[in-house]
Amino acid sequence: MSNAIESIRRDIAGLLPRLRRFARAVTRNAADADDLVQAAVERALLHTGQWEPGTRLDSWIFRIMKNAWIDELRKRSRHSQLFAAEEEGEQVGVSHTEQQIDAMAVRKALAQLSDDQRLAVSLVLVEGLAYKEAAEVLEIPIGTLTSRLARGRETLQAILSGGDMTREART
Amino acid sequence: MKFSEETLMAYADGELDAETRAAIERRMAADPDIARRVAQHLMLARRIGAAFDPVLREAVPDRLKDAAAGSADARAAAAAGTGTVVDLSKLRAAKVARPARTWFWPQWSAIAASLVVGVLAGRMVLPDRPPAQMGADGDGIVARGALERALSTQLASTQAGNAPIRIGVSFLSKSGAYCRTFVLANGLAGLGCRAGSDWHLEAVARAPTGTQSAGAYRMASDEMPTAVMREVEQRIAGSALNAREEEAALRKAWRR
Repeated sequence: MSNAIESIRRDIAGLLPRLRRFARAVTRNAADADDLVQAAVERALLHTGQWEPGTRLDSWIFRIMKNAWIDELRKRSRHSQLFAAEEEGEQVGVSHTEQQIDAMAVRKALAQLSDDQRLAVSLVLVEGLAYKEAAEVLEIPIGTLTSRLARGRETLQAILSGGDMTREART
Repeated sequence: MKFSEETLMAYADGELDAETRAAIERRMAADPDIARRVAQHLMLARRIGAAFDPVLREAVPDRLKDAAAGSADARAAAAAGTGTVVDLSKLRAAKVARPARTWFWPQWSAIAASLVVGVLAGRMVLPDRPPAQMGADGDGIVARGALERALSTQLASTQAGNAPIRIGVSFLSKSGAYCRTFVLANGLAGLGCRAGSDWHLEAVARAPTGTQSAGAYRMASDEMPTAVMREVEQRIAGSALNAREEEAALRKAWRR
């Protein structure tokens, strides 16, 4: 096995925490998220030749994840399987910090966006990609990216501003 | 000039060229509504980021590590002697986490300077008992001991990343006194303003829960509780001191 591939493997292993974070934001539930990461990592390693050294490895894998997730959604809608977002079942009975409560509200709000908007928000606000990088990952023009991002944020703000008031009042 | 919501969003995301950025900052200073909208974009961005960051600290399931290692042979190779390599790359991944959006105080202070927010007096959370770094004087709480020393002698620009007391931002208040924010290792954060040879503590609050762990310091701006931010917003005149101004103020013992 060549050193180049070995080094890509190592880099991918190092990216796993971020890939999982991105997947969690995009798929809305933890099980789907790790399945998506696994599928994308396997696909990436089968096609390492398609990655151009010198470009961002994370962006390349995000793109693979995006394509895999869109395929998955199509498959699911063909089989008319409806997957509701997991309603934070794993959290029941645990005491929460204010931060965790807020995180739950954010995840719920994000789950209400369209898939396109959620992808844009996840890349820019969760993963911190620049608009140009995010547009490249999604293979859309930058103008489309910014309008999806703006609309997604508007919805999030509307959903979350109620919670914001409560937070203020408690301070 | 009118700015669209998309432009303000792009400002908050650090996506604008210097010229547009400066134009927006001028408008923020003149128009509290613009400043408020930018602040709203910034706060939403931080909330969304913060909601998913805990995933980074979760243990990665073995099946994913196996997937990255590929074949059984590669796994064996990885297991035989490159154990630390994976850890290093993990660290690297943690470091590059959200590279584009680290908010520094100067950006916040530009907003803080122009934000007109209703601050309710007495809203900050005072600890039950003042810690050793604080003492009471005639009309309030003043910094003592290590905190007093840090406020008087520590520069935000040169302080060690793991300093037990971290200085955030320094600025001149509307009443002409130097003020500085700080975060203590125990998670208390606050704002001290120079009064004579003392540092009056104008606000002390507990930093957001869950982010405090020994040795894991985040940006001072990340740790600054809202109650302290509000006090800063209310007091600041102009913008925060830059490194050079901070040093000059220190040399004059924080007197004007």
